[in-house]
Amino acid sequence: MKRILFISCCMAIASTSSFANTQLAVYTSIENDRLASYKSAFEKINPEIEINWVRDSTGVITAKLLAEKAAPKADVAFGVGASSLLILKKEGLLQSYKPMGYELLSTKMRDNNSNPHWVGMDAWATGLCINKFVMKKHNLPSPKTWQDLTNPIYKGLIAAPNPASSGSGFMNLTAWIQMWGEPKAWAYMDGLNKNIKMYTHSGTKPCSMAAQGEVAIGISSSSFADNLIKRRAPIDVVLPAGGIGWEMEAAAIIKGTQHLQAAQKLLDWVSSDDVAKLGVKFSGITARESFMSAAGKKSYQAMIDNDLAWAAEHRSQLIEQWRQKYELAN
Amino acid sequence: MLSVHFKCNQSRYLAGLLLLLPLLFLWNGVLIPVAQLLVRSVTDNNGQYIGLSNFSSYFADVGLVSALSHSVFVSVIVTLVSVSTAFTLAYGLVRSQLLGKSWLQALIQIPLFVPSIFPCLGLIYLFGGQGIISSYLTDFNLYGPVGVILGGIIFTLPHAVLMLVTTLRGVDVRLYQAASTLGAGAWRQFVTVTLANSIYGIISACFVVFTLTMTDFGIAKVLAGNYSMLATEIYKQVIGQQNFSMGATISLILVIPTCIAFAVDSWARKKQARLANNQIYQTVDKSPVRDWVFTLVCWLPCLLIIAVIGVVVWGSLIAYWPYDFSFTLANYDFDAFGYGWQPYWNSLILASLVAILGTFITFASSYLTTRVDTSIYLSGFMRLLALLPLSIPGTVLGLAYIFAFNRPDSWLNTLQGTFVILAFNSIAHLFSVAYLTFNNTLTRLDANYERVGCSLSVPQWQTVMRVIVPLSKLSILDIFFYLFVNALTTVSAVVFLYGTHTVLASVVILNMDDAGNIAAASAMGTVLLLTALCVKGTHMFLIQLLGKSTRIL
Repeated sequence: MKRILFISCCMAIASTSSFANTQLAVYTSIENDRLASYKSAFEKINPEIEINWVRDSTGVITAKLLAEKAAPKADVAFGVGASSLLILKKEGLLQSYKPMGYELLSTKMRDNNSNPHWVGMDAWATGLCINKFVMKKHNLPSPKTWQDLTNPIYKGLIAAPNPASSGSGFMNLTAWIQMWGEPKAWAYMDGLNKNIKMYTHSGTKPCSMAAQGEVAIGISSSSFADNLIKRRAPIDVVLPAGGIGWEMEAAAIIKGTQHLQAAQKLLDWVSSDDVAKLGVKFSGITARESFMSAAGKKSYQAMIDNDLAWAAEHRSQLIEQWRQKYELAN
Repeated sequence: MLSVHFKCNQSRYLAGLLLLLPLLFLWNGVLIPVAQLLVRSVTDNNGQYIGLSNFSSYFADVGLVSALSHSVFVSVIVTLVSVSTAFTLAYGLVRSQLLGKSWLQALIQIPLFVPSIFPCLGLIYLFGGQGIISSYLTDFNLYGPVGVILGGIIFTLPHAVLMLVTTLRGVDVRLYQAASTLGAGAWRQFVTVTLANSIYGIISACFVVFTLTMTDFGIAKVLAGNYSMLATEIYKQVIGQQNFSMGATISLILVIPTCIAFAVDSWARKKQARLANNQIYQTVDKSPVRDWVFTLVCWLPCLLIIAVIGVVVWGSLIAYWPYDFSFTLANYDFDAFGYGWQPYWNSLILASLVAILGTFITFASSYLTTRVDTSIYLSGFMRLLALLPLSIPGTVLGLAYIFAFNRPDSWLNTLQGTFVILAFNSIAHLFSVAYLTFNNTLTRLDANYERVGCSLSVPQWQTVMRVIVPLSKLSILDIFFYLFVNALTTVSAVVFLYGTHTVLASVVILNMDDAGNIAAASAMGTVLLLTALCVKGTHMFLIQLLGKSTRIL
């Protein structure tokens, strides 16, 4: 009798603890200032789940997930670049799941597969961050097209992300090739390279360098610029005519998670109004087309038809070629 | 006589056993992760054996070879400038009565109190595109070798000063007395006593500075621009392209120059006769000319460094550099940036753990290898292991930890992301300098203490506690604070290892800078700086306290 009582006590304790908070380890590249709003909005409707963020740049998060392959620590990747998720998918790290509300998402922004491995949340597109003061100081016109950037008047005044270390850099490289074909794209980069002051490791850095006046023009993204403009940086954003590259923040479940149900709930939440509204605040371009802002729609229309799978497949070869031409030749 | 010999032998075996503990620590903390690196460098990213093809493709690549020569070039320049400046400073601090000696000794160490990226921010404020001084310069490009060399000198100078001050402090003051009795002039004394007795310390300092510069990632990341360097090459391979196997290969190539430096170091150690037999706190007579010269020469580099650091503190207090210079405290509102103050507390916890455990274990290791007759193979192996971390970039060691321990069969697997693994990694990463400093101090102490203790039937551990520890307390204190501030400021070693609840302030600084929030990064760095300054104040207070008691002794 005592024994039964003891066992039932244990069971009671065990069951209450399973009703207590599920701790979900979520790896993300979303900027820190936005994380709190995602967390509180999700936990409000899912009080039994608690999100624990591990935040770092896309490259670090991807490397971390790959390095932890043998014993995954993450339950979900949330707000991580889709091209990174494609690498993880190729390595067999993702658990396929078709979340609720999958149909609501733009076809451009989901894994169009019978067993989808990831869903998009929002997108951000290339934009030029232009420092008004520095342009005025050198008395320069604002560039309008991609070709304008090869004009010698901008020599030493442009910063661009390095494709070998930055997702944004790789995104530009593949966008140019997809728009113009390889020979023309490389010829363009030859011209652009003559004007570049510095290739940066991260995609946000060219914009912050432009904001600080280190350069006049930073090839970056309008969504990074907004944050800097809010802090009164004297920059304008220009979307170069002729199409722009883009990348999305996406979410996926890590294979081997101990909290599959909770992880699925987080994926179900991606298509919600909350996530769409938070995505609008970031870039204006969300996976739920009806929520897009006016500026977001403008970028969305300028966005090229990006073939992520093609880009992922040719990634190392393209980066190698780029490095031989512009980085290691110095 | 026979019985004494017998007793001493007994403690020898015990010491041999004790040495196994630090060996085990380094075996797990350094060798196993490095072995994983070796494995990764000869396998492809899917774990297939590919032999040396990574290495051959490395050396076939003109660009990667030029990154190697860039790194060596920059490191040699930094070593020359940094060590000669540090020697001048250390000499001034130990062998002259320059003005504001204790202030100088404290202030010169300020770069140790901040992550290596912090002075880089200062260089940008001063010499960058919109820098305060840049407008007076023509054709000055900070981003490239110039910036990396400047940043490297600021970053390594305090390390070199710390080592050389310890070295010069250990030179037996009676040698100077003997030299002047024999009629040697100041220059002759300098050459025959100072230089001759500190050459080993100088070589060690060169070795430390060279490898620190070779392997530092923060400075290269922020200031190298398009100048390719090995530390950033690793980053590009691992972070940019997730090519762990090539990253591991480049890391191992980084170890080659360090191994050469190690060989030179061991050679110097053999050449060096046992120096002084007694450590006496040095007092130096006044000499107005010499003291004024040293006051000027030593304060100049110190003030330049303070200017670079100070401008960052200033930058953290203005609204928006370089457009709005109005005063504000808004940059210190870390909650507004989504971080809060937790990372700061986490850094304090880690620093305390590393300082307490690290001082103990490095002192024990050094004692057991320098002053106890254990097997020469054991102690030789220990020395090799102890120096290995110096040649491994923090980022790489962090990654190596994940390769080694983040697998289901590892005993450390459940501790991933906790302070335990962070402290383990940080102590292993910082092991070498602490160990070398203790070696420097302990080899100087009279070898007879233990023999005397032994013949008086005093257990050796009591001799250690009563004689050796009190005689090396200044070094122990130095190392304790060295470990504390380094753990507070280290970035690269922990960037792969921190978890949800162990985000560190130094990592936050890097993230803030990356996000273009240079002011908030400066603010967080300033908070770390102020903390370290308080800690340094305590350090100086304790030195004074202990210094007095040493003199009484």
